[in-house]
Amino acid sequence: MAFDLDGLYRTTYDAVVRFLYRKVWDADRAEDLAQEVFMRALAHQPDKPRSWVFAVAANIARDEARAAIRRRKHLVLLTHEPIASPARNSDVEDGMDHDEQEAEVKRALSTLSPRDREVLLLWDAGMSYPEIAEQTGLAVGAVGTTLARARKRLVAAHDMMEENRVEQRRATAHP
Amino acid sequence: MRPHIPEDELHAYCDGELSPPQRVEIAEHLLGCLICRAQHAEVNEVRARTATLLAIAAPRGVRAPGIQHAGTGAPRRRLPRFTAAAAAAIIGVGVWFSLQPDQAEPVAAGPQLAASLPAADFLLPGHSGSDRAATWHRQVTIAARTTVPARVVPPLATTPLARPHLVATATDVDPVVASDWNSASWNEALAASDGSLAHVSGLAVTEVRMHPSASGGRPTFMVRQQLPDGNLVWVFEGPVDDVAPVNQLLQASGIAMSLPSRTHPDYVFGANGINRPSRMVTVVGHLTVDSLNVLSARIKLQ
Repeated sequence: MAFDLDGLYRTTYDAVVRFLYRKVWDADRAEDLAQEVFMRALAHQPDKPRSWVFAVAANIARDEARAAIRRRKHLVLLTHEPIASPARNSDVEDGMDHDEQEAEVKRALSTLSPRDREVLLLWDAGMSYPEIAEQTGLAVGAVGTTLARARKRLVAAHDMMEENRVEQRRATAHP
Repeated sequence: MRPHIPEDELHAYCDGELSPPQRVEIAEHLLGCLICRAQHAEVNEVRARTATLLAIAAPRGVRAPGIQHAGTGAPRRRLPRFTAAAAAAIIGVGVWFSLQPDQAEPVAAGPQLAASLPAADFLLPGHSGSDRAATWHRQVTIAARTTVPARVVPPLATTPLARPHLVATATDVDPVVASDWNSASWNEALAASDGSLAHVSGLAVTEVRMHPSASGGRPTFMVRQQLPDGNLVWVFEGPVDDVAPVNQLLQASGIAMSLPSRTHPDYVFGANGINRPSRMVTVVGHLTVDSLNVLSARIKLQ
């Protein structure tokens, strides 16, 4: 069957960007990496393009994370100062609210084991159990178990954060 | 009876990752087990929460690809949100067409239907096992993963866990058939149906209603029946033109229905010769479509 990059791009690009974004937490970088993934797909023309694209995306994200750690260490050595979080603009109230929510989800995701997180993100990217099994090395039967555990842990971690936030607000309002 | 369904199997069931025989087995179990039905509702809640959280953690440019691609004609895996009423209307039309004698097989409308489905439980495919059905199933599954209505995640302490209906009550459906539907005894309805009153074999009948047919044939029948756990289901049998609108109304209010099947047509003698209106039967209730399909397979015409 002829390799259809156009079809692959249209049907999976968004899912790949979302998948990468949840690895690198930088929208521009995620899009750059997604472009890189599709460039490689064009060069390789894989037989199972959809699975291949996510496998490459996972590898690229892993390399990116390692590079980011190296860059951060280098910057710390240069400045001897902690990296400041990006300044917030006061006229983007809605964005702030979303950023807070996203930060909570990010923290909740970080509480999952790497395998649970990988399976959950692959599922959310639209992959089937057999495809996830092929990519992660799990048995197909274990994908359901892993996915069930990942979902519950994500929700529980997020609920815990919400609860803590409510407690803090109460404590601030009634010291 | 098999032991309770393991949680991971329920996740796989909700994700559409089980084989048709496994789905039927679980659907049958859910019919008779209130504990597993409650667990099934919890699994659906966790899936919905997860989808909502992951939707928050997405880059803004690609958070809603369905909306982004709207009108471009580009195929999409993520699908836009539609109201239940719109979905029901489209499905109703699809069902009507699928029941026409000269139309293509029902599953041909699958991709179009999938594009407007709001949730996986809303309509699962039949168990034909064909490639086309598998494709349709896949699209429904993907749509279900991503079209969970977005909501701001509120503090846990202030919001009780939303639960879908676990038990249907008579007030869910009876108002839809309140006007112009006459209560009848079993024997009266049996006589009016020429001895072919549709009902699920083995369940207690709690109400029978009839509605005159516009085509002049046998009336449309509604038989309300009770499962052993108290849950109610409704069997609608009648001319397609009469049953389809009722099902649309019910689906718009969030009640699921089984895949319709044909029953004996009427033969109405008129001035222009013999008219042969098609009749269909569906089972309606607050159960998964798989469970309703299982009940539908037990329908007896008496």
